[in-house]
Amino acid sequence: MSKYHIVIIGSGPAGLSAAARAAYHDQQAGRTEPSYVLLEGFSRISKTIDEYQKGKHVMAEPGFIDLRSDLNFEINTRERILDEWNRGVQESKVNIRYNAEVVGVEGSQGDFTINLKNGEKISAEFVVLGIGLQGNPRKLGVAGEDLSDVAYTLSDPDEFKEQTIVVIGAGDAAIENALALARNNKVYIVNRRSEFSRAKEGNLNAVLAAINNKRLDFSCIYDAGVSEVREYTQDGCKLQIDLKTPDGLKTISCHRVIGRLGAIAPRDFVEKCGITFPSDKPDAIPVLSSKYESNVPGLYIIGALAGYPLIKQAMNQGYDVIEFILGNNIRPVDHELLAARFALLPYHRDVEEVIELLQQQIPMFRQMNALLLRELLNESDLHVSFPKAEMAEAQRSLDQLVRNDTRGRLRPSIAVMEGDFLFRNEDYSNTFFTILEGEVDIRVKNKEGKYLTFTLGPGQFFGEMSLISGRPRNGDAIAKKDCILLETPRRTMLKLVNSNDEIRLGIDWVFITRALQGFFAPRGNVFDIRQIAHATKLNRYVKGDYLYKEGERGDKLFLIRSGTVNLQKNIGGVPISLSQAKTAQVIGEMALLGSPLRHESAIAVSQVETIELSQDALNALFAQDEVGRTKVEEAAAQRLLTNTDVQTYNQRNNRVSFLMDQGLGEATNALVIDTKLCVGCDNCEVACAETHGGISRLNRKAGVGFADLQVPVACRHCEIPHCMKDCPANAIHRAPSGEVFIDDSCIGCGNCESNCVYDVIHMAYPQREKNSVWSWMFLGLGSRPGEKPVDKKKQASEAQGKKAVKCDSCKDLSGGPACVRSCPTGAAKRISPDQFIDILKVQ
Amino acid sequence: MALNKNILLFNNSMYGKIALGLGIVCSGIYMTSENPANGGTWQGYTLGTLGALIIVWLTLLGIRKRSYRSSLGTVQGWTSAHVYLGLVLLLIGTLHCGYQFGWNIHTLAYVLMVIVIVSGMYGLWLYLMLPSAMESNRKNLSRENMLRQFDSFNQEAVIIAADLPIEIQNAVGSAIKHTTLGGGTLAQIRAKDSSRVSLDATAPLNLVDNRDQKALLSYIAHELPKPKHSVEQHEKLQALLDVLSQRKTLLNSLRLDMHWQTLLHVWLVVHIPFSIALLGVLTAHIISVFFYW
Amino acid sequence: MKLILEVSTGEEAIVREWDGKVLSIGRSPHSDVQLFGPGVAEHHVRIIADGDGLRLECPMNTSVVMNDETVRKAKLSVGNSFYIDSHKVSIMASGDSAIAAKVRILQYDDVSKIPTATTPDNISARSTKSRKRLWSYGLLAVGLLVSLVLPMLSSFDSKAKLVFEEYGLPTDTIWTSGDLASAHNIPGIANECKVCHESPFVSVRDSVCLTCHQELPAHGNNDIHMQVGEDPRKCLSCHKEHNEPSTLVHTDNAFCTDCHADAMDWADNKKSLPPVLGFSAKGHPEFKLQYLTPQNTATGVDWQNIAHGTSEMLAESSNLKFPHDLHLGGDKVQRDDGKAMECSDCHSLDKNGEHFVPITMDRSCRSCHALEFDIQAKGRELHHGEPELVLQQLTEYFALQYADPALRAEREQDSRRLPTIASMSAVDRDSCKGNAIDCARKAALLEAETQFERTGCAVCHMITKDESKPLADRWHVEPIQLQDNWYNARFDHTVHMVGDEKSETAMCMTCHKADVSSASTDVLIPGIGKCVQCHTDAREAVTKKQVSSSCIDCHSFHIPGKPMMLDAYLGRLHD
Repeated sequence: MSKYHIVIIGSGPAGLSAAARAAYHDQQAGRTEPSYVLLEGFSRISKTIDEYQKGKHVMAEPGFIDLRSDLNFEINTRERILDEWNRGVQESKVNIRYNAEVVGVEGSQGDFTINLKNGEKISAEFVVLGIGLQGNPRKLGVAGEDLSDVAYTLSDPDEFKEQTIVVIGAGDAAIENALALARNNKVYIVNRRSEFSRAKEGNLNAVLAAINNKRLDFSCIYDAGVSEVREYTQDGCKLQIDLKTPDGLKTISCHRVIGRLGAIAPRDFVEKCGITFPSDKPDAIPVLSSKYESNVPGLYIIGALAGYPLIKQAMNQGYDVIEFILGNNIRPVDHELLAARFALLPYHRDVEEVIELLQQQIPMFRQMNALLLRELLNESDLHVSFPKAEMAEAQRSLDQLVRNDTRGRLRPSIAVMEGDFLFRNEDYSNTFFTILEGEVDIRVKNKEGKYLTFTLGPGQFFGEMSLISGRPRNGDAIAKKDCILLETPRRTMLKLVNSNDEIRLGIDWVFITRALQGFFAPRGNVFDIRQIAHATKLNRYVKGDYLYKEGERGDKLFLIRSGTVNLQKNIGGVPISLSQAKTAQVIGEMALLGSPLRHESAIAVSQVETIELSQDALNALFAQDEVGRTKVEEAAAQRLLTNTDVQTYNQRNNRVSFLMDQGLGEATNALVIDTKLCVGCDNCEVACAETHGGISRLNRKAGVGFADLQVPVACRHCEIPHCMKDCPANAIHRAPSGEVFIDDSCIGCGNCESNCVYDVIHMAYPQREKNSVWSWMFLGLGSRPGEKPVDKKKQASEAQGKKAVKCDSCKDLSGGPACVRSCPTGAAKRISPDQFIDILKVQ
Repeated sequence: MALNKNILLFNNSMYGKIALGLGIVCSGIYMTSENPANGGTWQGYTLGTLGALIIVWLTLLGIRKRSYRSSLGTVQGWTSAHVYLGLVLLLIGTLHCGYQFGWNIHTLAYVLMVIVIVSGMYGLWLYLMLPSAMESNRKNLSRENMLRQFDSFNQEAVIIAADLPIEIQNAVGSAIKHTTLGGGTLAQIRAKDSSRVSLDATAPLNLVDNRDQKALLSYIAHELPKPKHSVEQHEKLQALLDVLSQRKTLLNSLRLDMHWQTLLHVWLVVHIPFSIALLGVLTAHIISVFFYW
Repeated sequence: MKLILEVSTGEEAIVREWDGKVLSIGRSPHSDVQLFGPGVAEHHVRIIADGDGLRLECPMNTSVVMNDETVRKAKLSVGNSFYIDSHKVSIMASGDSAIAAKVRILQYDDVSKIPTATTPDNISARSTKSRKRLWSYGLLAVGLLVSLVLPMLSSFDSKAKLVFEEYGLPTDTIWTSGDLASAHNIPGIANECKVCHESPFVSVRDSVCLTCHQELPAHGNNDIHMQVGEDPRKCLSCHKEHNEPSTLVHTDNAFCTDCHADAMDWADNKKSLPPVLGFSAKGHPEFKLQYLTPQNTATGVDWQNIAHGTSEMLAESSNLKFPHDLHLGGDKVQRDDGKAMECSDCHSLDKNGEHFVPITMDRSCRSCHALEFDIQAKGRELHHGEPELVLQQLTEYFALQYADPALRAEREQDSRRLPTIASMSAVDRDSCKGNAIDCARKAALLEAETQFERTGCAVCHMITKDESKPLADRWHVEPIQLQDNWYNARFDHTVHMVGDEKSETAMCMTCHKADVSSASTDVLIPGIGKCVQCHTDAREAVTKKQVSSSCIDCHSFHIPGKPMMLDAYLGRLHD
């Protein structure tokens, strides 16, 4: 049995890079026999990337980190990158074994035994695990699953034309493949269930639309399972597949079957190797040292499996890990970045030490392993406050830093003056602040216009309200003497929260505590309220869910922490919406104020999260501060009051629930058309197109209408924008004034398009400069206003690839949204939910 | 910001009040003339200059409407002002010419102005009346949806008729084939229903007037009671009649919708060209007055 | 309830059996039948078992189209169908007693599939718009051609103009801003714009006007009223053509009051003209009557026509004795027909309606005031207007009387019968037995004395006697100095002879108080006070319900025989 110093498992970016590094060292040492081996279970390198769709652009995120590897890598298409790597592997004569699928690793540092599928055994002193998360695809598990035309991947959908293809599975991969194929083929997608529950919301809409689209030869077979696949060579087909459907056995003869049933997660394999995970959550990450060493000495984990899905990071780790194993204590590539980040810190210590220090000091950071924290620090901004006198000095040293940074990648820490605002009330920012040292004042204005100030100290964090609710800031944050703050972008924070239970629970707990204190007991005792917070419950609802129904008995009160809830009452058999409750409002309070019978139904009109309080919890809060009771009673009284004039505004309320149904509940700024005024001139669309490179971001005619209202297909600038959900390039932002917009860094992946529930985002080729309106108006030259410009260099612009376009509410136009300002009759209006009632008061 | 506030009510009809004031002032100026009113007196020149400026400004709406980036007021505001100033222009122009008309270009300019203003009034009326009318006619359906519905009626009628005697099938088929809707601009405005149908299976080209689908409907209606049909055929006929009558109603609202939608476009075909012509003749008017001074 | 759902999405229809209480249809993935389309709401409609039949219910705000009516609730029975956006839901018989009904949901095809015959070719916004541009430029071109280009051509090129006229094309005549005044609307001027408008953009010069109007008398003082700058277009400052319905003349006061609103002084004369704002009690100064006044100059007395104050301030010295009151009224003086005298018996308007025909002895006086001198010779009169011949005429007469013995005897008898008359008694006293010539001379001298100093001439005339002079021209009759032109402004009597007075005379009296004037020194010309009872200027005319009078109604220009206004005012006129 062959013996190596290092065995690297998995030829993904991480593994490859590691192997390349090892090869380099062998070369240096002038060894003839390689001291390492790279094992790949597949017949080619980087299977995961190999299986990307043809021509897919692979991004080199994160931009600010350098690549440190013996292989090259930069933004490019899948093909070019794979070619480049293959070349590199050849050049540095990497010792790689294909089709060597590893089934187990035993032993520990100094003597590991690696068992291959073919029974062969390899022994090694160190093992580097770079197998990623993809795992191996799950097969059909029926007769004929291995037939030549039964595939479990699809690299190039355009390979196939005019064929009948059956895609099995209801996950995102299945949907994406099926949709891609449907362009040139007749496609059946077989869904084991009666709906696509596992799919991303975007993909879900896409596939349902496709099923509905008459122009596409695309159909879905629900509640169906595969019973057999067999060769079948008649009428040009190659296969025949039997499906068990509710309507009996359905047989489809086809050219190809593609199974997309997910993969067998590598976790159990990893656990077999003796590696432990912190939690049972599927996305949990094994505990690693700052040198990527797992709890099994000598066994290292890098790449996606170690929590680094990004290629560049993985490659860097591959490089680093070999160096670590060889005992060279090199510095991670992000070292100088962090050094810059820590520039203004008072203590002059080495980066590593600072990180350790932070980890000890900040409770939240204790939950993370060193690597995660590093990443967090990398993506966050560091604010350090100085007295007025020292500001200039601090600023100078920063400028110095930036000047010396020839490649302009450094993001040094930021100096703020004592007493400066970190954010102001009503700002539409949603970053998350952690206090490393010093103190920060939070000022909240109460009803009487008086300021209530809370002071937060080291280890505490703030800004979580906006982080979670997507609402504008509630209160001002003011830096105090020598405070050091970490400002983390929403995206990073959510990633962290989702991957780390402890942190999420921690944040939630603090959130709830503060929400309760803020609403019920401003003057209450924080520690008591924390206890009460434990007794509460966090609920999540999707659009359309009922929080509670009219007529049922209730013993709970809900404090909404995100989303909008529509309260409606059944009047004369017709549900009439009474009012809407938004973030930081309570509903269902009547049940706890003595009338347990629910007098209205509460329905979520967007993603809604609530804090649920029981009678006891409420009483406890009331005990803390009598303000709470009065406030709740006030809220109740107000609601009852509005309910009284409901009948009179019957029509209006129908309109409101219509708007709610159109998703304006989660909107912050939506376009609505008053059809009693609209003459259908479409000047709104034209104006939009003209102010946005010839592509209109709104579609009036396609909008749904009710009574004298029409909601065009146009961006609502949601409180928690669906489009922001996963933007790999982080190109979607929310302006402080609230507009959600896409900046130039868009890489055209189309995630936002499919994530948007209201399909108001399109992928479009960048437009040529448009001819002036006047040359058309006076001479009829060029394209009409609103039309796409006549593009002579079409190829050129198409080569740049499509980019996502959406309404930016004309944030850059001084006058505001062009659609509204160019409506000759004033039919087009932009409204936010708070205005519904006022607007609809007419009649 | 409230619903259903039309351009006349924009900003509490501020421009209306301004225009009214302007009208009063101009009448005042007119009154001061001791000589018989004439474009040549100082009053005449004042009113004339004012009128000319207003005309030029009014035509600028076409520019502003297309200056999509402009933050100079809203197009709604401009339109509101456009309407009111346009109305008061009629007064100012008349005072300027002092009721003196003749076969000359000055009166020509005046006539053009009146044409433009009157067409504008018509347009205004359309803008105020039609939207709600169209809304209730469409019942929140888009034109596309209506057409889709219409098409499905056709298909359905054919499907149902398929199980009915051949002559009925032919009747339905030919009725659908020879139903007319829309057409060119004029056709859409006239909204004349020149549908035809052949009720004689043997002579498909022998077409009779089928306005409002009367012929077809009455044909089916008379077929119904005939004993020759089986029970399910009666069922079918009933259903067919139902579908066709719905189809007929839909046709009508489609026609109406097109009629109105076209009117909304077409009045401008008078308003704008004449405004431009007015600009030209106005220039001539001014030049000529000083050319032969 | 059990249902058969037949959801057909184009190519393939999925048919499945369904069992439940409420069949929900909508866009939501939770609904039993999921439909898509712009008009489909999350939870659009529910179909609910209702007794043995079915009924539909729309939650929230949604509604469906049933029998072409939007409904939110309805009973459903086999054969019914309703629409959700682009989907048709039909309730059909299931043919199986266990199954309530068959629900077929069918999605329309897209618009493109509508049979061609019924496809409405929609008016495309493009065509309309581009047509707008076409029309616009077309009309603009025509408008400019007709109203500017052709006329301009015709104005520059007279030949072209002829051609245009021949073919009825527009020429520069359509530039006219109004008809010409009839006086000017004559061949050679009418339609020949360039006759007056010599050069473009230059208004008409005086030279053009004066080619015809050379001999025009200027009542207005050219040196003042027309020296508005060195502008060679003075005529235009008052005269406007193409200006119907108004006249050629500017009538508005502004033309005068622009300057005259301020008082004016004249260097060569101490007189200054008070401000004039218009014709009203306040706006216009009191009239200054002008009449012949003796001015002592180096060469002797020179009668000058000088504007004085009002009539009250004046006493006329006409050397004529005429008490108006005596003649009017009728109690002392009657006409032959016994009626009272009328003004018009003596004063008759001349044709211009402003002045009166001069009064003469023969026409107006002689009928009563005959110049008889010999009681025995009725009808024999002295010559009027030739005082130097009076003595000679008498001498000749009496010579004849005494030379003829028959006459002489007759006279002697008569002188006894008849009451003695001056001459004869004297003669008889001297019992003129001498020769006839002596007697005649005596008698004639006596008679002349009587005529000049007592009866005859002295009744109306002022007589002066100079003993030193020879008999022949011992008596001198002062010349009559009558003022014929009191105002330098115009006044037309004819238009003023209106009113509700019974007689013409009464009408005169309203202005001229002749009936109370006992002396011929009285000036009977009214002042402005009289005029403004009826007249005022345009500004007040309407409000005061009075006759509007503009400056030129009285102070008009170009009146033959009128003195220049200023000269008249300054008394520069010589008779």
